[in-house]
Amino acid sequence: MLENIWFVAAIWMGLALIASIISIRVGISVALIEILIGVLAGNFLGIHKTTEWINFLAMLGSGVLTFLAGAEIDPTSLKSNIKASFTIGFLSFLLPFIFIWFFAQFVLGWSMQQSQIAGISLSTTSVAVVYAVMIEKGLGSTPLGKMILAACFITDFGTVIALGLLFADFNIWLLVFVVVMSVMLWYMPRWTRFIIVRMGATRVSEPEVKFILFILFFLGGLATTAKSEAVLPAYLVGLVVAGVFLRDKTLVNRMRSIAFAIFTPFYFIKAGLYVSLTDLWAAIVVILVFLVIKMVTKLIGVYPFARTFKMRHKEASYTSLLMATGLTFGTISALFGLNNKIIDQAQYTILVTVVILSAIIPTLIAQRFFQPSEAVMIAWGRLFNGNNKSASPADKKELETEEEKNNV
Amino acid sequence: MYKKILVGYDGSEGSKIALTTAAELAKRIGAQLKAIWIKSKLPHYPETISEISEEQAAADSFLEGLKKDVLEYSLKYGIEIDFFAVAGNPAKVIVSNAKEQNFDLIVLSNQGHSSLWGTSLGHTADRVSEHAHCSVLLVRESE
Repeated sequence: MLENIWFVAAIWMGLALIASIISIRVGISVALIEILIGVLAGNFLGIHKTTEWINFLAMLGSGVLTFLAGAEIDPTSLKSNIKASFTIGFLSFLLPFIFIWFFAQFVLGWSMQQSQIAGISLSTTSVAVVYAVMIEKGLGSTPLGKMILAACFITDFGTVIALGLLFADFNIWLLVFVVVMSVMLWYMPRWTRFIIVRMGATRVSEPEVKFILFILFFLGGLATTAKSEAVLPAYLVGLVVAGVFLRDKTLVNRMRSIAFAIFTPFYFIKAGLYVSLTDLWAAIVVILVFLVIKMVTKLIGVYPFARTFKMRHKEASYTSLLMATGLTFGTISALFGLNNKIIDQAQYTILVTVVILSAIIPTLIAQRFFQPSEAVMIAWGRLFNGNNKSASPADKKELETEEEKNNV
Repeated sequence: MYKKILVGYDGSEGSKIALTTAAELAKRIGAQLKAIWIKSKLPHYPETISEISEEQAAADSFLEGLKKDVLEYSLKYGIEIDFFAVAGNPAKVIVSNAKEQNFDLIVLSNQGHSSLWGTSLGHTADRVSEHAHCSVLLVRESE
């Protein structure tokens, strides 16, 4: 019975349905619940293997998810405060990547490639998790909120570049991939706009969705031929069409609906399936050490520059902690390592567990102890873009009041 | 007699009966009436920003529908009915808001949208009646 493709599909979709119902009830994203359901299925329900078609759907899930992550950035926010967001975002990637790589290689004795996978997985951040944390208090549209989101985007960009290039074969195919991708990226915004304008975004045959998927699949094919990773072109395609998507939300919403209904459940359940609870328990100390290193290196990379960029202790700590979150790209990087047999299941278990913990723990600490007010996050924009002298008396008073509260 | 009445309203058939009962009672005794909708919190730890923005847009659109409903009840019974929405755990939010705003009666349906979960986890109405500082009127759908 379990060899029947329909029954296998029914079991996986049933698990995805259970995850959706639990997600609605408990108010936690369906992705995280799907991973946890996958963990339970792998450890207690005896579902240990995937099929070719499950792997294919999961692969599409990670590709479309990465595309959406790139497409959701607001190009205007990215350009404003570029100095602060680039510096913070870049260091938030670089320091954890190097420290974790070296720790895994020289302390834990992992191979260089395994250590690099660990470095990439744990240097990521999560734009969506950070957005959700800020939107709860209405902070997402403040200047400081936008700067933090842009910095998260830069960090993930570093992750995707590292994943796409570190394990690639430097041969003629890589050159072909880079050249073709560059040309297509250049033309993508006008092609996408052309398709939407000429064919309409409401046609039932969905030409614009098919066009985006065609480009993603084609560039994904070129990337994997060059032994690179398909998420690299997916993220970059998302980035270059972000401006088009910002004006036309229909397309992005439609792609998200397709991805969340059909592709991503297979990806996230599969991501959870390979987490072994036995390995997790055996490596609990290593998991905690990795988590601490991730958070401390993010703090070392982000905090001093946040202070330089006119944030006070509270906002700088808040920014550092939010940059220490992780989810999508952390699991994508770890699963890339497992699928390509760079890391084993025990190492995968460690990395995914740290990634999930990093989605939860830094955000809880940030919200509990360092939550800035909306007025302060707005005032930061005026201070940073002008200078202290040009700050209005109201801004200064707001900041002084907050400072007094901190001192108390 | 009661001076301030709080009624839970989520657009379900049960809550419509509760709102009808509360409106009739408020009109008869000249009490102030407020309706409350407890919206779900936005999902934590999402994978994409659009998950949050779409949830928020859907909640806003649902809220507009509820506001229209309440306005219709207000016109029908010729009384003013204030309406507000708060995110959080339904029972906790209703109990705390009733206490903070000095309501002396809470009117709820015994069955809202959450009947599936109510069976195993205990209905919101049960928990409100257990913890509220004031009287609670549970309205049955058959009424």
